[in-house]
Amino acid sequence: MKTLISISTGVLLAVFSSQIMARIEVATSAEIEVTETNAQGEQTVVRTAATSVVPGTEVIYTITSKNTGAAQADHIVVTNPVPAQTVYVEDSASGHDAAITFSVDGGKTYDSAGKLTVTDANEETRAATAEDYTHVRWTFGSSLEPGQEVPVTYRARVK
Amino acid sequence: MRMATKSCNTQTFPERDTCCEASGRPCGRAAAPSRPAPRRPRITNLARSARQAVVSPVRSRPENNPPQAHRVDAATSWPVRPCVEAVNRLKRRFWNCRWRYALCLLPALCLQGPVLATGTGAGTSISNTATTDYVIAGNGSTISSNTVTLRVDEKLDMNLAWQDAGNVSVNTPDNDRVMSYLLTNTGNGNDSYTLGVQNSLGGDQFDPVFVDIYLDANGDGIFNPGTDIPYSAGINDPALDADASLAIFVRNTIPAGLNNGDLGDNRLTATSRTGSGLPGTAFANAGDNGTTAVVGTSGGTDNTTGTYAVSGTSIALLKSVVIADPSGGTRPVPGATMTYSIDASAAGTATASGVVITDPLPANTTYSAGTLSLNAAPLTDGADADAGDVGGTTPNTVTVYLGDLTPASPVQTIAFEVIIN
Repeated sequence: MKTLISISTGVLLAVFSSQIMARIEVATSAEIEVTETNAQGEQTVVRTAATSVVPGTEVIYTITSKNTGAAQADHIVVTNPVPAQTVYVEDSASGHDAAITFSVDGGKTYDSAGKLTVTDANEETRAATAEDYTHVRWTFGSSLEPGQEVPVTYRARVK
Repeated sequence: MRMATKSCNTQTFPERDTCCEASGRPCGRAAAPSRPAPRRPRITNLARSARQAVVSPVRSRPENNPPQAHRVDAATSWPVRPCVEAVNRLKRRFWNCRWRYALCLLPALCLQGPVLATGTGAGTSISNTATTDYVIAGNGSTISSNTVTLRVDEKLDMNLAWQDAGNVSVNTPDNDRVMSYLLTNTGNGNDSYTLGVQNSLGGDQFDPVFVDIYLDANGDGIFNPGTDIPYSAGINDPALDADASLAIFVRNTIPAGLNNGDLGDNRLTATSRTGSGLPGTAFANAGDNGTTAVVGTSGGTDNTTGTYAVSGTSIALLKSVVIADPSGGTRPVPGATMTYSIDASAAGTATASGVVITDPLPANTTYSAGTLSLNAAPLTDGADADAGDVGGTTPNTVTVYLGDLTPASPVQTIAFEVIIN
């Protein structure tokens, strides 16, 4: 289910004609992988939209940003808090031409995997692990042209 | 004399675990055998053994008998099972239990054993909303996505583990031998379980005869006759919250005519009453909070096997006393010296581990300092590096650590003297 949200303000309307009105849509979907066995007994893994999960399930979240307007959109940054009751699955984030960074402090700061540290209750600092990630961020290296849509994805495991 | 030890006498103590647990010390019956009160002060040295019936007090002989060793059949023999590990494990479990209760104010911390943290509870919603920032014509904006919400269903998973440290030693025949198991709900919702026992299994030498199943009623993980609850399938199937554990005790009878070393397997099976089958099998509306119940990797059922072993090891204790009175006779009068000897030997096919002999000093006597010996070699009275002490480990008690004994071990002779007050 996609929700269309129009970003348009009186100022924008006043300045730009409707032909170049900016319109970006972003949609999140959740899928799980299911092993299916066909009549020949062959097993295949298929993705299916998820509505329910159990502890241990890996959920594949895909966030698709689409430029539905007529103007180029720049500096695209997609941000997704890792949902409560899930943990980020290491090395699972991907996105075309996007630099992927993570936050371990609730989204205040971001850095690439391997550069993040956390300080534990004993005031000792250690390298952050995937379980520590609170947010995933994709910073696009290129613009989003009118009509273009770019998905980014990652996996989160249900605790 | 008490043959106590870091060995569990599973033959004599159906409540073996209780003794290990309660004392945190070597097993053995702590209380002296009950006896009629003597009419007058009497020199007795009760051989406190796990098997009390064969013990009789040492009495003085008629004067016209020559001085001779008075034999006390301190104990005939009984199987000994090494249980140092069991004791330690039970102690650990005891403390785990304590901790478990203490921490149960914080449900997420109520862990026991190798169980992972509680999974997300059945019925929980997991929501996710992403945002996209962008700049168009120099104007930055942020837009949120739709919110995806997932429902957490109930996963049906469990684990059964055999709790005894090793094969449970039994005699042939033997009655109501206890096998201990631990059932843990490793799913994420409340579930109840049907229990079953199977004893006709391959790969062993005999089939134990199933008697009954008990559910741990007081949460101590130890079989407590009279406290724990007999299980009846369909009547009181145990229910467990996610991550909760329950000790389950299965009692079996051991047939007669077996050989030492024979093994007999006992298998306990627990099956989710909500559902079982291939992992992934779903039962609509069967889970907690109206969720779907989904069979986990366990298949909704688990079983584990415990093993009885007909023990081939027994410890024999032979106690004797020689009395020398101040007049050169053998009368047990004040001032007379009583020299006790205890011979310990092992018989059978296995090793009795960590054998400890304890012998309370007789009433109305005083230990003669410096007279304790093991195999004629003097031992100091203090609890120190050597194998024995008097009063150091236990007040007014001789304690000698004999270590491991096998049938090949020479007879171990403990001697000490007391003087009648």
